[in-house]
Amino acid sequence: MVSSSPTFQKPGIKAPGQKVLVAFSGKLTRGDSLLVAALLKSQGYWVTAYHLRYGKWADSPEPDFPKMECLSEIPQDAVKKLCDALEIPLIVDNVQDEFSEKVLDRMIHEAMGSRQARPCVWCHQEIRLPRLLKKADELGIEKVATGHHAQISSDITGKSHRLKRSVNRNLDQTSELFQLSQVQLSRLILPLGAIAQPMLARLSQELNLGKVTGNRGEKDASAYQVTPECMTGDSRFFKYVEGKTAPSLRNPGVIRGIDGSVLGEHFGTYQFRVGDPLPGVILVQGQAFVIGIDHALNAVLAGPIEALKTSEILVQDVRWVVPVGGLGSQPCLVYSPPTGADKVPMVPQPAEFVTFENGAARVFLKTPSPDFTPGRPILFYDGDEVLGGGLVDRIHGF
Amino acid sequence: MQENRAIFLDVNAGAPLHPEAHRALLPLVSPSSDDRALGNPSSAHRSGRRAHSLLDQARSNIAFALGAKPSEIIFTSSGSEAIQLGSRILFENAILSGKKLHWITTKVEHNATLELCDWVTSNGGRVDFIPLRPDGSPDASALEKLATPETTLVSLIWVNNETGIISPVEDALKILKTKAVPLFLDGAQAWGKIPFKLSNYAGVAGAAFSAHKIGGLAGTGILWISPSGEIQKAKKCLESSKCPAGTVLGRQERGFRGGTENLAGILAAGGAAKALYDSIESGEWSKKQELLSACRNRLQDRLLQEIPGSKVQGIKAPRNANTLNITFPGGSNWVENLDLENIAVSAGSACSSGVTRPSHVLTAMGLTVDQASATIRISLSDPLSDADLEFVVGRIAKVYSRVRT
Repeated sequence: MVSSSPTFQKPGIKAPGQKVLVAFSGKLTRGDSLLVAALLKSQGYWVTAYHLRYGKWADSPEPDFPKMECLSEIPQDAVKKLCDALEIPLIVDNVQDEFSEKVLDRMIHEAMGSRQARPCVWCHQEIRLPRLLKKADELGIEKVATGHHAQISSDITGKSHRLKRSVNRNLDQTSELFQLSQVQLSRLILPLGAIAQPMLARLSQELNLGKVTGNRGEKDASAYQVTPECMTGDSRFFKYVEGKTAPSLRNPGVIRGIDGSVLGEHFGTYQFRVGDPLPGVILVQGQAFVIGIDHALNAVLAGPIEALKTSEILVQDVRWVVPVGGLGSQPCLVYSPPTGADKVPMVPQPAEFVTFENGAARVFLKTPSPDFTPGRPILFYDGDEVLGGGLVDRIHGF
Repeated sequence: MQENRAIFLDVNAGAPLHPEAHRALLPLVSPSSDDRALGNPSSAHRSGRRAHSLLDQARSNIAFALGAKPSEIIFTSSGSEAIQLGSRILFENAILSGKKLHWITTKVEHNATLELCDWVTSNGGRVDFIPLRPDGSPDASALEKLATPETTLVSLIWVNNETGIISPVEDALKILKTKAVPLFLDGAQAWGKIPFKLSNYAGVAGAAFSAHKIGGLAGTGILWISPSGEIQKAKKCLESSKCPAGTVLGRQERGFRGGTENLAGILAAGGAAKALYDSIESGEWSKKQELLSACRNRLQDRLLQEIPGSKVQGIKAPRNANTLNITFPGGSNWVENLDLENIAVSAGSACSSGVTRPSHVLTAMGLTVDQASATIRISLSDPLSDADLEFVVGRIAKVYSRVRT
């Protein structure tokens, strides 16, 4: 178990009187942002809440726009009420256009490449965290806080910061934070990552959050097990892609087996993602999976799960939490955060990695695995510590 | 320089409770006082009489401070209610007499007034707006054309709450007198901020005021009704036709506004009004206005100097002494930013669904959304010391250096 994070103090202990900008969704399903704001306030911080709204993407999406659970919002009045009850100021920004540009467009691009996109990672990386830090700069606030379940620890000099998994493994959200720079980590407070799950509920009680929410947010144990349903493989998402791309990019074609045999037809490769099971196609070896796309022949390639298994992964856009030096391979654990489609959460797997200067890394898995498909984020761990992460680029033929 | 000093520059939203207002509340709240006022001012027993006497005293103090007679004062729950009560009596009387409603006002009124636009049009009436002059003040001469003897009412905000611009009430009155059109004034920001005696405004039908703007408690409004004015006449007509006049029916407040009086609010208002009256009589008030005006102007000059490209709204119009509405060349979330610097001001815009909506006053004055987002209203309760003034200028400049884009 990880020792208590330096950022966690029990309520009632007066902390600095320091200003902090808290990312505030106001959602009560888990109530994490509310708990963070209340906890920091009880510790003596001067808390300001920062709330992002997705405008039309949350309120009245275009027809065919798939439901994205992460975009669901509570009315701004309700957010304001929560802040009023906590007696903290609220700042609201609208990221409708930014979301369209930095997430939706990229989702379409990734779909056309049949990659297993992870929009929430981009949204955190490109919108939510940069916005939070930028707004804090504008407000002259040094510290920012979020309800992420992860831990940050600093060395004795206070200059080197490390990112660690939450003490509650099932809630861990390091996969949304691995891209943060040292400067950014030095400004971030994650009050929840070091608090054991039963204590989270008790804290809510101690801070009287039931009164704040008017008991609207009755939490049950299951609230902590919800993985938001991601829609990238959703039929409504295909319709959305169709509305945004030229038909010539979406030609129908055939599904072929490894031996070249035709197993079926498809209505565009964008409806398939490498690594997903192919519904209704059973091979001698069992369930068929999408193992690749032959863009020259406009064919979806199908094969048994063994064909997806790889022991070598090329990772791009790699960011290291603490700079990783040295030549030669280094041991680590690798992990790809689950999507809504994953029935079983993945467990970190032993591997070695070699890093390159151009932001790429090559990973050698001890045991071949079918789980690291292109487009997915991949994180490198040393025990509980996050070394860094990136996006899986290729698994075969490099 | 003290890091944690807090400076309140938002007195137009609500003034701090005046010590005299606090003192006036004591008979009501101190349990041991012999002077204790118990019960309902309408009760006939000793306690009730005591309460009634205090209420009358407060009414007199308020009337004196307004330059009116106690019998002309009607207490309401707010300035907004006073505005709507006064206007509605005229509107309803016109409807009852089978006249078509015609209302003239401006686009820079308080929302309490503008809310009535829909009411008037939904009752088959017509609303015209007095255009603004380039300096931001209402162009009273437009009334020559807009107002006709058929016009039901003209409503003007006496002193604008956002910009401090003083409306040309005398000019409007001169024109309206020739056409026999009643004028109603929203005086919420005028009381205590510009010199006037209502007895000199015989041509005005009525005016609305609010106690918390002069150091009383919020929740206390005052409707002044000119004894010979149109509202008084309309009320009589409505009564003679057995038609209810007013929003809350009852015999209190001469039948204009029923319901047990808000004794605490009225006593506090009386205390604050007495203090205001005394300071006007002693000449203190005028001296303070001069100091406030000098302080506002210096703050204005220093900000224009520190942040080039800033623009003061209404700078060329007649303004009251305490208000400064300034648009900086950029930035948003100014109120929150300055709050974090321990300075309380008001915003030129509101935010809904993350979308900024400029105030209707600034929109009417031609500001864009971005300009309104970069606008703040500073309203002084007392002149700032040199050190405080420089502190404010320094903090605003600091915020600007952060938010400029």
